[in-house]
Amino acid sequence: MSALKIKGLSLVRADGVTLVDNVDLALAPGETLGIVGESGSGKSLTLRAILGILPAGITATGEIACTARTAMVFQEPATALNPTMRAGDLVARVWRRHHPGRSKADALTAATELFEQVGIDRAADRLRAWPHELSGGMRQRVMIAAALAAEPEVLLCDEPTTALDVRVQAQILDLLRDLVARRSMAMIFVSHDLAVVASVSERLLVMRRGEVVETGVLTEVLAAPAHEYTAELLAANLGRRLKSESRESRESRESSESLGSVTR
Amino acid sequence: MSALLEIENVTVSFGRRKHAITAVDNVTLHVEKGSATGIVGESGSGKSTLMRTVLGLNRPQAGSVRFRGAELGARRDLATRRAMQMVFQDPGTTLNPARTVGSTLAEMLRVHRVVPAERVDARVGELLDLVHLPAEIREARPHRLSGGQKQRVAIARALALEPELLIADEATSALDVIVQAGVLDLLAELRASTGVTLICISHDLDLVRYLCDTAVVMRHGRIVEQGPVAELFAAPSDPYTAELIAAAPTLPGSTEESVR
Repeated sequence: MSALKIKGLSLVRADGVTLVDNVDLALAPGETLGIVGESGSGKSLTLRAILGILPAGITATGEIACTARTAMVFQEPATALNPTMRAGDLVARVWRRHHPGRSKADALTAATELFEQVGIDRAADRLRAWPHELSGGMRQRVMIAAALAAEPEVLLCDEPTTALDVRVQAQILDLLRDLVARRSMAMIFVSHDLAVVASVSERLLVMRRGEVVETGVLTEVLAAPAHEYTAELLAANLGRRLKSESRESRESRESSESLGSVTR
Repeated sequence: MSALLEIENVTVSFGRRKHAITAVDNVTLHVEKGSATGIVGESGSGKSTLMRTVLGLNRPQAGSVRFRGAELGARRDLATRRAMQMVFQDPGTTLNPARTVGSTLAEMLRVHRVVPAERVDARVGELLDLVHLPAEIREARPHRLSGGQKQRVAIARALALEPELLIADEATSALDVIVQAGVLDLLAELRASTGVTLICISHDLDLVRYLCDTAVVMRHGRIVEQGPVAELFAAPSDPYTAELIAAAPTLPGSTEESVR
Protein backbone atom coordinates (compact mmCIF):
# COMPACT_ATOMS: atom_id res chain seq x y z
CA MET A 1 0.00 0.00 0.00
CA SER A 2 1.38 3.35 -0.89
CA ALA A 3 -0.02 6.81 -0.33
CA LEU A 4 1.46 8.05 -3.54
CA LYS A 5 2.82 6.28 -6.57
CA ILE A 6 4.31 7.81 -9.69
CA LYS A 7 5.17 5.68 -12.69
CA GLY A 8 7.00 6.90 -15.77
CA LEU A 9 6.25 10.59 -15.23
CA SER A 10 7.58 12.77 -18.04
CA LEU A 11 7.07 16.50 -18.38
CA VAL A 12 7.63 18.10 -21.75
CA ARG A 13 7.65 21.80 -22.55
CA ALA A 14 5.74 23.15 -25.58
CA ASP A 15 8.99 23.49 -27.58
CA GLY A 16 9.72 19.79 -27.10
CA VAL A 17 12.32 20.07 -24.33
CA THR A 18 11.98 17.28 -21.77
CA LEU A 19 12.11 18.69 -18.23
CA VAL A 20 11.34 15.54 -16.29
CA ASP A 21 12.14 12.19 -17.80
CA ASN A 22 10.51 8.93 -16.79
CA VAL A 23 10.44 9.41 -13.03
CA ASP A 24 9.26 6.60 -10.76
CA LEU A 25 8.49 7.29 -7.13
CA ALA A 26 6.59 5.60 -4.33
CA LEU A 27 5.73 6.93 -0.91
CA ALA A 28 4.39 4.76 1.89
CA PRO A 29 1.99 6.26 4.47
CA GLY A 30 3.95 8.08 7.15
CA GLU A 31 7.19 7.93 5.21
CA THR A 32 9.51 10.89 4.69
CA LEU A 33 11.24 11.22 1.32
CA GLY A 34 13.84 13.84 0.48
CA ILE A 35 14.46 14.92 -3.10
CA VAL A 36 17.77 16.63 -3.73
CA GLY A 37 19.06 18.12 -6.97
CA GLU A 38 20.47 21.27 -8.56
CA SER A 39 18.41 24.03 -10.11
CA GLY A 40 16.79 22.67 -13.26
CA SER A 41 16.86 19.06 -12.11
CA GLY A 42 13.05 18.85 -12.20
CA LYS A 43 12.49 18.35 -8.47
CA SER A 44 9.99 21.20 -8.01
CA LEU A 45 8.14 20.35 -11.23
CA THR A 46 7.69 16.79 -10.01
CA LEU A 47 6.00 18.12 -6.85
CA ARG A 48 3.80 20.43 -8.88
CA ALA A 49 2.79 17.55 -11.14
CA ILE A 50 1.58 15.64 -8.07
CA LEU A 51 -0.69 18.52 -7.09
CA GLY A 52 -1.70 19.17 -10.70
CA ILE A 53 -0.47 22.76 -10.65
CA LEU A 54 2.05 22.64 -13.50
CA PRO A 55 2.85 25.93 -15.24
CA ALA A 56 1.03 26.46 -18.54
CA GLY A 57 2.48 24.82 -21.62
CA ILE A 58 3.91 21.75 -19.90
CA THR A 59 2.49 18.38 -20.90
CA ALA A 60 2.60 15.50 -18.45
CA THR A 61 2.60 11.85 -19.41
CA GLY A 62 2.77 8.80 -17.17
CA GLU A 63 0.81 7.76 -14.13
CA ILE A 64 0.30 9.53 -10.85
CA ALA A 65 -1.75 7.49 -8.42
CA CYS A 66 -2.46 9.48 -5.29
CA THR A 67 -5.12 8.27 -2.90
CA ALA A 68 -3.96 10.49 -0.06
CA ARG A 69 -4.93 14.09 0.68
CA THR A 70 -1.99 16.36 -0.16
CA ALA A 71 -0.97 19.90 0.70
CA MET A 72 2.07 21.92 -0.24
CA VAL A 73 4.38 24.44 1.42
CA PHE A 74 6.25 26.71 -0.96
CA GLN A 75 9.68 28.32 -0.88
CA GLU A 76 8.75 31.97 -0.60
CA PRO A 77 6.08 32.60 2.05
CA ALA A 78 6.01 36.31 1.19
CA THR A 79 4.60 35.62 -2.26
CA ALA A 80 2.57 32.54 -1.34
CA LEU A 81 0.48 34.45 1.22
CA ASN A 82 -2.33 36.71 0.09
CA PRO A 83 -1.23 40.20 1.19
CA THR A 84 -4.82 41.44 1.48
CA MET A 85 -5.93 38.67 3.80
CA ARG A 86 -5.31 38.39 7.55
CA ALA A 87 -3.18 35.35 8.42
CA GLY A 88 -5.96 33.72 10.47
CA ASP A 89 -8.62 34.27 7.79
CA LEU A 90 -6.40 32.55 5.24
CA VAL A 91 -5.98 29.47 7.42
CA ALA A 92 -9.67 29.51 8.38
CA ARG A 93 -10.71 29.67 4.73
CA VAL A 94 -8.60 26.63 3.83
CA TRP A 95 -10.03 24.78 6.83
CA ARG A 96 -13.64 25.55 5.82
CA ARG A 97 -13.05 24.30 2.31
CA HIS A 98 -12.03 20.98 3.77
CA HIS A 99 -14.76 20.95 6.41
CA PRO A 100 -17.90 21.90 4.47
CA GLY A 101 -20.93 22.94 6.48
CA ARG A 102 -18.94 24.18 9.48
CA SER A 103 -19.29 27.73 10.74
CA LYS A 104 -16.84 30.58 10.46
CA ALA A 105 -16.43 30.60 14.22
CA ASP A 106 -15.45 26.91 14.17
CA ALA A 107 -12.92 27.69 11.45
CA LEU A 108 -11.35 30.48 13.51
CA THR A 109 -11.12 28.18 16.53
CA ALA A 110 -9.45 25.57 14.33
CA ALA A 111 -7.08 28.23 12.95
CA THR A 112 -6.08 29.22 16.49
CA GLU A 113 -5.30 25.59 17.30
CA LEU A 114 -3.28 25.23 14.11
CA PHE A 115 -1.33 28.40 14.91
CA GLU A 116 -0.49 26.90 18.29
CA GLN A 117 0.55 23.63 16.69
CA VAL A 118 3.02 25.36 14.38
CA GLY A 119 4.54 27.27 17.29
CA ILE A 120 3.08 30.73 16.75
CA ASP A 121 2.91 32.29 20.20
CA ARG A 122 0.02 34.59 21.13
CA ALA A 123 -1.90 32.62 18.49
CA ALA A 124 -5.25 34.30 19.11
CA ASP A 125 -3.73 37.77 18.53
CA ARG A 126 -1.74 36.69 15.51
CA LEU A 127 -4.91 35.56 13.69
CA ARG A 128 -5.56 39.24 12.98
CA ALA A 129 -2.04 39.95 11.64
CA TRP A 130 -1.44 40.92 8.04
CA PRO A 131 1.30 38.99 6.21
CA HIS A 132 3.54 42.08 6.01
CA GLU A 133 3.51 42.35 9.81
CA LEU A 134 5.06 38.90 10.18
CA SER A 135 8.72 37.87 9.92
CA GLY A 136 9.84 35.37 7.28
CA GLY A 137 9.84 32.50 9.76
CA MET A 138 6.36 33.43 11.06
CA ARG A 139 5.00 33.65 7.52
CA GLN A 140 6.32 30.18 6.78
CA ARG A 141 4.63 28.90 9.98
CA VAL A 142 1.35 30.43 8.73
CA MET A 143 1.84 28.63 5.40
CA ILE A 144 2.42 25.36 7.22
CA ALA A 145 -0.70 25.97 9.32
CA ALA A 146 -2.68 26.59 6.11
CA ALA A 147 -1.34 23.36 4.65
CA LEU A 148 -2.27 21.45 7.83
CA ALA A 149 -5.81 22.90 7.68
CA ALA A 150 -6.42 20.54 4.76
CA GLU A 151 -5.49 17.64 7.08
CA PRO A 152 -3.06 16.23 4.56
CA GLU A 153 -1.81 12.67 4.66
CA VAL A 154 1.06 13.74 2.45
CA LEU A 155 2.79 17.09 2.97
CA LEU A 156 4.78 18.37 0.01
CA CYS A 157 7.54 20.86 0.85
CA ASP A 158 9.28 22.79 -1.91
CA GLU A 159 12.45 24.38 -0.45
CA PRO A 160 10.44 25.74 2.51
CA THR A 161 13.53 26.97 4.36
CA THR A 162 15.72 28.28 1.53
CA ALA A 163 14.63 31.90 1.98
CA LEU A 164 15.12 31.82 5.76
CA ASP A 165 18.06 32.60 8.03
CA VAL A 166 19.88 29.60 9.43
CA ARG A 167 18.44 29.77 12.97
CA VAL A 168 14.89 30.14 11.65
CA GLN A 169 15.56 27.31 9.22
CA ALA A 170 16.55 25.07 12.12
CA GLN A 171 13.27 25.91 13.92
CA ILE A 172 11.13 25.17 10.86
CA LEU A 173 12.95 21.86 10.25
CA ASP A 174 12.35 20.90 13.90
CA LEU A 175 8.68 21.82 13.51
CA LEU A 176 8.26 19.73 10.34
CA ARG A 177 9.99 16.72 11.92
CA ASP A 178 7.72 17.04 14.94
CA LEU A 179 4.49 17.45 12.92
CA VAL A 180 5.28 14.49 10.70
CA ALA A 181 5.84 12.29 13.73
CA ARG A 182 2.81 13.58 15.67
CA ARG A 183 0.31 13.36 12.81
CA SER A 184 1.96 10.33 11.17
CA MET A 185 1.95 12.28 7.91
CA ALA A 186 4.04 11.31 4.94
CA MET A 187 6.27 14.07 3.59
CA ILE A 188 8.22 14.82 0.44
CA PHE A 189 10.85 17.47 1.10
CA VAL A 190 12.60 19.06 -1.87
CA SER A 191 15.80 21.08 -1.55
CA HIS A 192 19.09 21.77 -3.28
CA ASP A 193 20.78 21.44 0.12
CA LEU A 194 21.67 17.85 0.89
CA ALA A 195 22.29 18.55 4.59
CA VAL A 196 18.83 20.10 4.97
CA VAL A 197 17.13 17.24 3.13
CA ALA A 198 19.05 14.69 5.18
CA SER A 199 17.88 16.22 8.44
CA VAL A 200 14.19 15.48 7.74
CA SER A 201 14.17 12.39 5.50
CA GLU A 202 14.29 8.62 5.88
CA ARG A 203 14.63 7.97 2.20
CA LEU A 204 16.55 9.98 -0.41
CA LEU A 205 15.99 10.49 -4.10
CA VAL A 206 18.66 12.25 -6.16
CA MET A 207 17.59 14.03 -9.35
CA ARG A 208 19.70 15.46 -12.14
CA ARG A 209 18.55 17.00 -15.42
CA GLY A 210 15.05 15.60 -15.03
CA GLU A 211 16.09 12.07 -14.22
CA VAL A 212 16.28 10.08 -11.01
CA VAL A 213 19.91 9.04 -10.69
CA GLU A 214 19.69 7.28 -7.35
CA THR A 215 17.19 6.41 -4.66
CA GLY A 216 17.44 4.50 -1.39
CA VAL A 217 17.53 4.64 2.38
CA LEU A 218 19.16 7.94 3.35
CA THR A 219 21.89 6.57 5.59
CA GLU A 220 22.82 3.90 3.05
CA VAL A 221 23.01 6.35 0.15
CA LEU A 222 25.17 8.73 2.18
CA ALA A 223 27.45 5.95 3.36
CA ALA A 224 27.90 4.38 -0.07
CA PRO A 225 26.54 6.42 -3.00
CA ALA A 226 25.97 4.20 -6.03
CA HIS A 227 25.92 6.99 -8.62
CA GLU A 228 28.92 9.22 -9.28
CA TYR A 229 26.72 12.33 -9.25
CA THR A 230 25.60 11.56 -5.69
CA ALA A 231 29.26 11.07 -4.77
CA GLU A 232 30.03 14.46 -6.34
CA LEU A 233 27.25 16.12 -4.32
CA LEU A 234 28.64 14.58 -1.16
CA ALA A 235 32.17 15.64 -2.02
CA ALA A 236 31.00 19.24 -2.57
CA ASN A 237 29.52 19.39 0.95
CA LEU A 238 31.79 21.73 2.88
CA GLY A 239 31.12 20.07 6.23
CA ARG A 240 32.45 16.78 4.87
CA ARG A 241 35.43 18.50 3.27
CA LEU A 242 36.29 20.17 6.54
CA LYS A 243 36.17 16.88 8.35
CA SER A 244 38.46 15.10 5.90
CA GLU A 245 40.75 18.13 5.85
CA SER A 246 41.01 18.35 9.61
CA ARG A 247 41.90 14.68 9.67
CA GLU A 248 44.58 15.25 7.02
CA SER A 249 45.99 18.30 8.74
CA ARG A 250 46.04 16.49 12.07
CA GLU A 251 47.96 13.67 10.45
CA SER A 252 50.41 16.02 8.76
CA ARG A 253 50.86 17.95 11.98
CA GLU A 254 51.61 14.77 13.81
CA SER A 255 54.27 13.88 11.26
CA SER A 256 55.92 17.30 10.93
CA GLU A 257 55.09 18.96 14.23
CA SER A 258 53.39 22.35 14.47
CA LEU A 259 53.57 24.70 11.49
CA GLY A 260 53.24 27.82 13.63
CA SER A 261 50.21 29.34 15.17
CA VAL A 262 47.59 31.46 13.47
CA THR A 263 48.51 35.14 13.71
CA ARG A 264 45.91 37.70 14.54
CA MET B 1 52.17 41.36 9.36
CA SER B 2 50.58 44.77 9.08
CA ALA B 3 46.98 45.82 8.86
CA LEU B 4 45.88 46.47 5.29
CA LEU B 5 42.47 47.67 6.32
CA GLU B 6 41.58 49.39 9.58
CA ILE B 7 37.93 50.07 10.30
CA GLU B 8 37.67 52.23 13.43
CA ASN B 9 34.38 52.86 15.27
CA VAL B 10 32.34 53.01 12.08
CA THR B 11 28.62 53.72 12.34
CA VAL B 12 26.30 53.75 9.34
CA SER B 13 22.63 54.57 9.54
CA PHE B 14 19.88 55.00 7.00
CA GLY B 15 16.78 57.15 7.10
CA ARG B 16 16.41 60.13 9.36
CA ARG B 17 15.41 60.99 12.91
CA LYS B 18 12.57 58.78 14.14
CA HIS B 19 12.84 56.31 11.28
CA ALA B 20 16.61 55.99 11.34
CA ILE B 21 17.98 52.46 11.26
CA THR B 22 21.52 51.88 12.46
CA ALA B 23 22.84 49.26 10.06
CA VAL B 24 26.41 49.29 11.38
CA ASP B 25 26.91 50.26 14.99
CA ASN B 26 30.36 51.36 16.16
CA VAL B 27 32.33 48.58 14.46
CA THR B 28 36.09 48.24 14.74
CA LEU B 29 37.83 45.64 12.61
CA HIS B 30 41.42 45.23 11.44
CA VAL B 31 42.27 43.06 8.46
CA GLU B 32 45.86 41.86 8.04
CA LYS B 33 47.55 41.88 4.68
CA GLY B 34 47.31 38.50 2.99
CA SER B 35 44.71 37.15 5.40
CA ALA B 36 41.29 35.73 4.64
CA THR B 37 38.53 37.07 6.85
CA GLY B 38 35.00 35.70 6.89
CA ILE B 39 32.13 37.88 8.07
CA VAL B 40 29.07 35.86 9.03
CA GLY B 41 25.65 36.97 10.19
CA GLU B 42 21.98 36.69 9.34
CA SER B 43 20.19 38.98 6.93
CA GLY B 44 20.11 42.51 8.28
CA SER B 45 23.18 42.04 10.49
CA GLY B 46 25.05 44.79 8.65
CA LYS B 47 27.78 42.69 7.05
CA SER B 48 27.19 43.92 3.50
CA THR B 49 26.69 47.54 4.60
CA LEU B 50 30.02 47.44 6.42
CA MET B 51 31.86 46.28 3.30
CA ARG B 52 30.00 48.72 1.06
CA THR B 53 31.22 51.45 3.40
CA VAL B 54 34.80 50.24 3.00
CA LEU B 55 34.38 50.50 -0.77
CA GLY B 56 32.91 54.01 -0.46
CA LEU B 57 29.43 53.01 -1.61
CA ASN B 58 27.92 54.15 1.72
CA ARG B 59 29.07 57.11 3.78
CA PRO B 60 29.63 56.41 7.48
CA GLN B 61 28.02 58.77 10.01
CA ALA B 62 30.94 58.27 12.35
CA GLY B 63 34.32 56.56 12.44
CA SER B 64 37.06 56.13 9.90
CA VAL B 65 38.36 53.62 7.38
CA ARG B 66 42.11 53.42 6.78
CA PHE B 67 43.57 51.50 3.89
CA ARG B 68 47.34 50.94 3.62
CA GLY B 69 47.64 53.33 6.53
CA ALA B 70 45.89 56.26 4.82
CA GLU B 71 42.45 57.48 5.75
CA LEU B 72 39.81 57.06 3.04
CA GLY B 73 37.45 59.95 2.39
CA ALA B 74 34.26 60.15 0.39
CA ARG B 75 36.14 60.88 -2.83
CA ARG B 76 38.76 58.37 -3.79
CA ASP B 77 41.37 58.40 -6.50
CA LEU B 78 41.52 55.79 -9.22
CA ALA B 79 44.44 53.96 -7.60
CA THR B 80 42.51 53.41 -4.34
CA ARG B 81 39.39 52.29 -6.15
CA ARG B 82 41.49 49.90 -8.17
CA ALA B 83 43.10 48.40 -5.08
CA MET B 84 39.77 47.18 -3.63
CA GLN B 85 37.43 45.08 -5.69
CA MET B 86 34.19 43.36 -4.89
CA VAL B 87 32.48 40.27 -6.31
CA PHE B 88 28.72 40.36 -5.80
CA GLN B 89 26.15 37.65 -5.16
CA ASP B 90 24.32 37.53 -8.44
CA PRO B 91 26.66 37.36 -11.44
CA GLY B 92 23.63 37.53 -13.74
CA THR B 93 22.98 41.16 -12.85
CA THR B 94 26.54 42.46 -12.42
CA LEU B 95 27.82 41.63 -15.90
CA ASN B 96 26.93 43.90 -18.81
CA PRO B 97 24.62 41.77 -20.98
CA ALA B 98 25.55 43.65 -24.15
CA ARG B 99 29.30 43.08 -23.91
CA THR B 100 31.27 39.96 -24.66
CA VAL B 101 33.38 38.54 -21.84
CA GLY B 102 36.54 39.65 -23.68
CA SER B 103 35.40 43.24 -24.02
CA THR B 104 34.25 43.41 -20.36
CA LEU B 105 37.73 42.40 -19.22
CA ALA B 106 39.52 44.55 -21.82
CA GLU B 107 37.54 47.62 -20.75
CA MET B 108 38.81 47.31 -17.18
CA LEU B 109 42.40 46.94 -18.37
CA ARG B 110 42.11 50.02 -20.61
CA VAL B 111 40.28 52.35 -18.18
CA HIS B 112 42.75 51.66 -15.41
CA ARG B 113 45.74 51.40 -17.81
CA VAL B 114 46.78 48.20 -16.13
CA VAL B 115 48.85 47.05 -19.11
CA PRO B 116 50.06 48.83 -22.27
CA ALA B 117 47.42 48.90 -25.06
CA GLU B 118 49.22 46.27 -27.13
CA ARG B 119 49.24 43.87 -24.15
CA VAL B 120 45.47 44.09 -23.40
CA ASP B 121 44.53 41.21 -25.64
CA ALA B 122 47.13 38.88 -24.21
CA ARG B 123 46.25 39.86 -20.64
CA VAL B 124 42.56 39.01 -21.23
CA GLY B 125 43.72 35.54 -22.22
CA GLU B 126 45.82 35.24 -19.07
CA LEU B 127 42.92 36.32 -16.86
CA LEU B 128 40.56 33.75 -18.35
CA ASP B 129 43.26 31.17 -17.81
CA LEU B 130 43.66 32.29 -14.19
CA VAL B 131 39.99 31.56 -13.42
CA HIS B 132 40.06 28.33 -15.44
CA LEU B 133 37.74 29.43 -18.23
CA PRO B 134 38.31 28.24 -21.81
CA ALA B 135 39.70 30.83 -24.27
CA GLU B 136 36.62 30.55 -26.55
CA ILE B 137 34.49 32.17 -23.86
CA ARG B 138 36.04 35.52 -24.75
CA GLU B 139 33.57 35.93 -27.61
CA ALA B 140 30.51 34.89 -25.58
CA ARG B 141 27.97 37.24 -24.03
CA PRO B 142 26.79 36.61 -20.43
CA HIS B 143 23.47 34.98 -21.40
CA ARG B 144 25.38 32.11 -22.97
CA LEU B 145 27.24 31.34 -19.75
CA SER B 146 26.25 29.18 -16.80
CA GLY B 147 26.01 30.71 -13.30
CA GLY B 148 29.41 29.37 -12.31
CA GLN B 149 31.05 30.65 -15.50
CA LYS B 150 29.53 34.10 -14.97
CA GLN B 151 30.88 34.23 -11.43
CA ARG B 152 34.33 33.23 -12.72
CA VAL B 153 34.13 36.11 -15.22
CA ALA B 154 33.17 38.47 -12.38
CA ILE B 155 36.19 37.24 -10.40
CA ALA B 156 38.45 37.68 -13.44
CA ARG B 157 37.10 41.21 -13.87
CA ALA B 158 37.96 42.03 -10.25
CA LEU B 159 41.40 40.47 -10.58
CA ALA B 160 42.09 42.37 -13.82
CA LEU B 161 42.89 45.38 -11.64
CA GLU B 162 45.34 43.40 -9.52
CA PRO B 163 43.60 44.50 -6.30
CA GLU B 164 45.18 44.17 -2.88
CA LEU B 165 41.79 43.52 -1.32
CA LEU B 166 39.10 41.30 -2.80
CA ILE B 167 35.69 41.32 -1.14
CA ALA B 168 33.32 38.48 -2.01
CA ASP B 169 29.76 39.29 -0.93
CA GLU B 170 27.84 36.00 -0.85
CA ALA B 171 29.69 35.27 -4.09
CA THR B 172 28.67 31.62 -4.20
CA SER B 173 25.17 31.75 -2.64
CA ALA B 174 23.37 31.73 -5.97
CA LEU B 175 25.34 28.76 -7.30
CA ASP B 176 24.59 25.06 -7.20
CA VAL B 177 26.57 23.22 -4.57
CA ILE B 178 29.06 21.48 -6.87
CA VAL B 179 29.70 24.72 -8.76
CA GLN B 180 30.05 26.54 -5.44
CA ALA B 181 32.77 24.15 -4.31
CA GLY B 182 34.67 24.86 -7.56
CA VAL B 183 34.48 28.65 -7.11
CA LEU B 184 35.59 28.39 -3.45
CA ASP B 185 38.59 26.31 -4.47
CA LEU B 186 39.37 28.95 -7.11
CA LEU B 187 39.30 31.74 -4.49
CA ALA B 188 41.61 29.75 -2.21
CA GLU B 189 43.98 29.11 -5.11
CA LEU B 190 43.99 32.77 -6.18
CA ARG B 191 44.72 33.88 -2.65
CA ALA B 192 47.74 31.58 -2.57
CA SER B 193 49.01 32.54 -6.03
CA THR B 194 48.40 36.31 -6.01
CA GLY B 195 48.66 37.05 -2.28
CA VAL B 196 45.41 39.02 -2.43
CA THR B 197 43.75 39.79 0.90
CA LEU B 198 40.30 38.23 1.01
CA ILE B 199 37.14 39.22 2.86
CA CYS B 200 34.19 36.87 2.42
CA ILE B 201 30.71 37.85 3.49
CA SER B 202 28.51 34.82 3.97
CA HIS B 203 25.64 33.40 5.95
CA ASP B 204 27.29 29.99 5.59
CA LEU B 205 29.55 29.12 8.52
CA ASP B 206 31.06 26.10 6.78
CA LEU B 207 32.16 28.33 3.90
CA VAL B 208 34.01 30.62 6.30
CA ARG B 209 35.61 27.66 8.04
CA TYR B 210 36.65 26.27 4.69
CA LEU B 211 38.09 29.41 3.14
CA CYS B 212 39.10 31.82 5.89
CA ASP B 213 41.53 32.03 8.79
CA THR B 214 39.69 34.71 10.78
CA ALA B 215 35.96 34.75 11.46
CA VAL B 216 33.87 37.76 12.45
CA VAL B 217 30.30 37.26 13.68
CA MET B 218 27.91 40.19 13.28
CA ARG B 219 24.46 40.74 14.73
CA HIS B 220 22.23 43.83 14.69
CA GLY B 221 25.07 45.91 13.24
CA ARG B 222 27.62 44.95 15.87
CA ILE B 223 30.49 42.50 16.00
CA VAL B 224 29.61 39.96 18.68
CA GLU B 225 32.72 37.87 18.33
CA GLN B 226 35.88 37.58 16.26
CA GLY B 227 38.90 35.33 16.28
CA PRO B 228 40.86 32.62 14.50
CA VAL B 229 38.45 30.28 12.72
CA ALA B 230 39.63 27.13 14.49
CA GLU B 231 39.22 28.64 17.96
CA LEU B 232 35.94 30.41 17.29
CA PHE B 233 34.25 27.30 15.96
CA ALA B 234 35.71 24.94 18.55
CA ALA B 235 34.84 27.15 21.51
CA PRO B 236 32.55 30.09 20.71
CA SER B 237 32.55 32.56 23.58
CA ASP B 238 29.34 34.34 22.58
CA PRO B 239 26.01 32.50 22.97
CA TYR B 240 24.80 33.87 19.62
CA THR B 241 27.79 32.35 17.81
CA ALA B 242 27.11 29.04 19.54
CA GLU B 243 23.47 29.24 18.44
CA LEU B 244 24.46 29.87 14.82
CA ILE B 245 26.88 26.94 14.83
CA ALA B 246 24.25 24.64 16.34
CA ALA B 247 21.60 25.72 13.82
CA ALA B 248 23.68 24.94 10.72
CA PRO B 249 22.45 21.70 9.16
CA THR B 250 25.11 19.03 8.91
CA LEU B 251 25.21 15.77 7.04
CA PRO B 252 25.34 12.67 9.18
CA GLY B 253 29.02 11.77 9.33
CA SER B 254 30.27 15.30 8.67
CA THR B 255 30.97 16.16 12.29
CA GLU B 256 33.34 14.36 14.60
CA GLU B 257 30.61 13.09 16.90
CA SER B 258 28.44 11.88 13.99
CA VAL B 259 24.77 12.84 14.39
CA ARG B 260 22.25 10.04 14.99
